[in-house]
Amino acid sequence: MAMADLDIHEPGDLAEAFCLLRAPDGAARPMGGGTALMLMMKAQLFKPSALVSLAKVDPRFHGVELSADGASFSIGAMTTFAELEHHADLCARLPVIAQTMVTLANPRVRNVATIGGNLAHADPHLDLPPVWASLDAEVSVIGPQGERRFPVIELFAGYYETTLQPGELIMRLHAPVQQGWRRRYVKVTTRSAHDWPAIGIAIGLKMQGARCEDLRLILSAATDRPTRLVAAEAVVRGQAITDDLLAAAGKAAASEVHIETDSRGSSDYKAHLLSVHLKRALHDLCE
Amino acid sequence: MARQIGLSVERLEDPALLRGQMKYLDDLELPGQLHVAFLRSEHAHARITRLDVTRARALPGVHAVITMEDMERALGRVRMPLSASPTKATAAITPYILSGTEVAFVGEAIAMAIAGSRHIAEDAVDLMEIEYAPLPVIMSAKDAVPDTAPRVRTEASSNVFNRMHVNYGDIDAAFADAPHVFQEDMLQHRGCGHPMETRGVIAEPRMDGTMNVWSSTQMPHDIHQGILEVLGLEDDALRVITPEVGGGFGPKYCAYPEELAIPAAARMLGRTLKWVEDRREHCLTAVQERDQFWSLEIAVEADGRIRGLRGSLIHDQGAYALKAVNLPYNSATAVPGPYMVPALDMRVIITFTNKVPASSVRGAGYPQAAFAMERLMDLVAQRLGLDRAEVRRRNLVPPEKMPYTKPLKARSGAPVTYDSGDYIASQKEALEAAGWDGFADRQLEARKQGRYIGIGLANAVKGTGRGPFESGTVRVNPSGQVSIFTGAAAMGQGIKTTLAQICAEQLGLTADKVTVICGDTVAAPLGLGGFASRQLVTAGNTVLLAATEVAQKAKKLASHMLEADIEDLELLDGKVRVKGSDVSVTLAELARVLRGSPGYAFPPGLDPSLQSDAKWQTEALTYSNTTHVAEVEVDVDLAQVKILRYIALQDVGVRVNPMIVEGQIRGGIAHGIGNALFEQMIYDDEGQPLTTTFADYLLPTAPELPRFETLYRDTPSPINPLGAKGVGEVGTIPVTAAIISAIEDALAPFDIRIQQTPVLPETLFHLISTARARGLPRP
Ligand SMILES: Cc1cc2nc3c(=O)[nH]c(=O)nc-3n(C[C@H](O)[C@H](O)[C@H](O)COP(=O)(O)OP(=O)(O)OC[C@H]3O[C@@H](n4cnc5c(N)ncnc54)[C@H](O)[C@@H]3O)c2cc1C
Repeated sequence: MAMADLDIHEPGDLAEAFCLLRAPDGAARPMGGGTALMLMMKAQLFKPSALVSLAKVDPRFHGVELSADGASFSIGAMTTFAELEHHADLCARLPVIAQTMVTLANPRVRNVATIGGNLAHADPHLDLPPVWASLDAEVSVIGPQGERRFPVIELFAGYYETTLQPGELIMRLHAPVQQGWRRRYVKVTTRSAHDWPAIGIAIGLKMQGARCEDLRLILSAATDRPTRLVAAEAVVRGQAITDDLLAAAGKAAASEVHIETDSRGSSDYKAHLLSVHLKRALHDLCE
Repeated sequence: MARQIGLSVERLEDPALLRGQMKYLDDLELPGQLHVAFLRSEHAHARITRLDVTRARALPGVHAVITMEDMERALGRVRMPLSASPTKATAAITPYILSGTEVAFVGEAIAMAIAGSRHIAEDAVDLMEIEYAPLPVIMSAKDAVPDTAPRVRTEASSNVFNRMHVNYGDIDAAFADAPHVFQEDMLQHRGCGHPMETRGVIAEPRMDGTMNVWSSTQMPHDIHQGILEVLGLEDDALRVITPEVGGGFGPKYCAYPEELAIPAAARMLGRTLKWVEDRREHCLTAVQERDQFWSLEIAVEADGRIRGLRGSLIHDQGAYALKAVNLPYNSATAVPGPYMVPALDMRVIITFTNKVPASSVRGAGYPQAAFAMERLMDLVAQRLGLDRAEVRRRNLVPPEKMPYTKPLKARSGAPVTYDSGDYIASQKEALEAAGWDGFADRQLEARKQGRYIGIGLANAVKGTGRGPFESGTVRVNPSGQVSIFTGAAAMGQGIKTTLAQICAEQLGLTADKVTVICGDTVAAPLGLGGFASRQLVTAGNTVLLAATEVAQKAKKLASHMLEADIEDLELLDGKVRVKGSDVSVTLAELARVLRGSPGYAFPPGLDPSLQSDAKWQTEALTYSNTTHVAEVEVDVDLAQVKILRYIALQDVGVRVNPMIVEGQIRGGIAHGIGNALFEQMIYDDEGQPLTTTFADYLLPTAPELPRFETLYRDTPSPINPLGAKGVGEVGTIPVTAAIISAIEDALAPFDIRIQQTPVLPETLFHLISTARARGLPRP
């Protein structure tokens, strides 16, 4: 598989980057780690004439910082997966990230793939987006028109589609560190371990005694974007956790979303997997 | 004589592999080489209504575009010869070198672009303008059979390629008053071979009219013959070389259109051409084993002993035949496996479909036969309320009947004779290792905790060492190093090391003093190549004979030089030595003497060179046997299977290098696990392949594989001097049967029967849901 000729730019500031990216028809694309771009270019899914590396555009695209009050992490879009995976503070306070990384791609990909590229790629099978969403994370984006900040779940518009405006770049991600939450990402592969997930479920759970005080349930892979399972959350929120309640939550989850049939399973099977895994994971998190 | 046979010596192949120094086809860069890319059919069946390559030819950097018309003008033919067949193709069954009027599967080669780089060649392919008029598509072998079905290729008078009837014994009597008759239908799918290295060809036409061709193949001599025939070259004008081959597994057993189109185009242009298949092309164009629809009936006595077996088998051949179609014959004749089946009647229908041609993948139809037979054994056990192992034991060929001749003929015409092995003891030993007898208690205990575990077993035999011969020359060089030249094909399996060990033992050397040259039609003008678990048996015995002769010759010369009696000589550490003394002469010295010096005579009775040429011949196959036991756990809520234990007992005769054997067995089992649980080549109704990347076509990887517990019984084959039996495919054959038997056992409370391979979670989910709807499992 051959790729067309292309230019690779590494602009030293944002103004230059915006200028380079203004090329018509998406002919110029921003590049983070390039791992998704390369695959899509080799498959001839798109043929940009230029790639614009974000490596040097602005210091705000880099670095992992814990706020002074310890309430949230702020993560530059160009941070690699490996940096996060080995970040001592982050591992201690948001262990769900390291847990997710264990089954995410391989060390070679994790060494170069970036947090920003991962979000902008908007493939619903990706593992991290539902996790960020379950953390109530927000993104800061910057474009020729200025900066804005909004909840990460609002970034995703569908298969490979985001709500980014033309020229806008993801600059930072903000992930709150909430006390007392238990978290887990469940990657459900139905075939071999290196398969894309049939479904992904990111769960955050806050208990008060035997009662669920609050929770976040985000479904990925089976839907065209990470989707919050509002009905299932409502079943559980405020209730004492029992097997019956968890079964009801599983049922609610399976019926509130539309799941597509694909090579990883029929919609029936995936809905079934969702209810079983949701039940099992909530059960484990309550232990 | 220092022992080399039976030692796990480190593979001679590995240092270069570990250092990244191995040269595969894509590593070869020839001066002035141009690159080839193919325009391939996007339709499973269509007439080509327009092909305009003007724009492609005009692209800067493009040297030529070649279509079927150009090929026909240059070669006077458009079709491939039928390779590796004793007869020429009589009907229109072989693929086109390039297709020009009609295409019959997605991926069929239509035109080639030749350019200074692969990139430009691919861009040129994009510029070719082609239009198709779609024709009706036949995707299922079953749909192909009726005479009213649209034709897979409009040129064919029928979609049915061949019908075969394999039978012996009085089948009607066997069924007429049988106490029990059971019936089973099965759909067996086997996917692709997927060697890590895909196919590839380089053709270098030379100024003197000769040509060198490199191809990543299991069959260099076949390719040699094919190119000679198509290009009209004389034997010595063509040299075919296989560089290191990164796996074969069957797909490289066939000669493909690219292997003729590229040499032909190279000659037309007078330029060296290179083409390396990419993975998507491999998924589209390399052979697969595909689908077999089985329908079987078994007649048994009240105690489970088999009276007869009858049924039919429809085999999906794809659009063409690349070589004589043996695979379904293998399946039909191999059904009885290690069991005594007094009467057999199998009707085989081979049909064309609009898919890439089928041919063998590791196991070559035997795994399907084993699955069919073992499923029947389980069915008999279940219906008669007998232990699955006991039903098998009652039917296994007992050791006192060895050698056991079946009223069946192998391809050579020789009768099928199981030469050796104790099948009953093999089964017993494997079952003991697996804890078969205590399993029922463990299973009950587990079920009390809501866990569904199951155990399954499968027996199989595999005819190995297919003849009629393999070539081999052993030569001691004046340096003392020994060279072997053989027609056997090295494709990553370690055959070089094994042959070196056999040779070294005869010459009193260690294996590292032996260099093995494979895959070069000049170094070994005669040869058959790698398939059917044959090379250790055929090339191994050839090398044994040749090396023994070289040892004799060395002793004879040494007896002159040392003035000693031949009987008093021995070969040790690279020398011929008078036993019990330090009087000796090195092999190197002997080799120098036998190279001759101008005018000086050789000692009486000796001829030039310390070398010998052998061609061990055989008509018979030698049979390896195996019993596998799998223990699985099924998560019934998720319909997911986990293999807990895997016990594999093999009797593969003398193990020349036990480590290499172990590698072959483990790889074979992994392949079988893929067939049982993961691998499926999926097409849509229009014949578009949907699984053309490793993200869609899933091979088993380390996390899916259990720790293998392997056991060996080393019954030497009585029908070859080495005592060897083949091993390459043996590990694969019983795997699907053992695993699916175990899954079924785990799900016994759900009363589920599994009649297909592979079993994906989705399938299990539906089986379990259906059983649940029937109120199972009962509380
Ligand atoms: C072998 C392999 C295995 C994989 N396995 C997994 C897996 O198991 N789980 C999983 O979740 N993922 C997996 N992935 C996908 C991987 O997560 C993505 O490829 C990766 O996250 C993309 O990040 P990147 O920095 O390389 O993005 P790039 O390839 O650089 O870019 C991706 C897209 O985002 C755009 N972009 C990049 N940065 C920005 C930015 N800051 N602002 C706006 N747009 C931007 C690009 O233009 C492009 O459209 C795998 C990938 C590979 C190659």
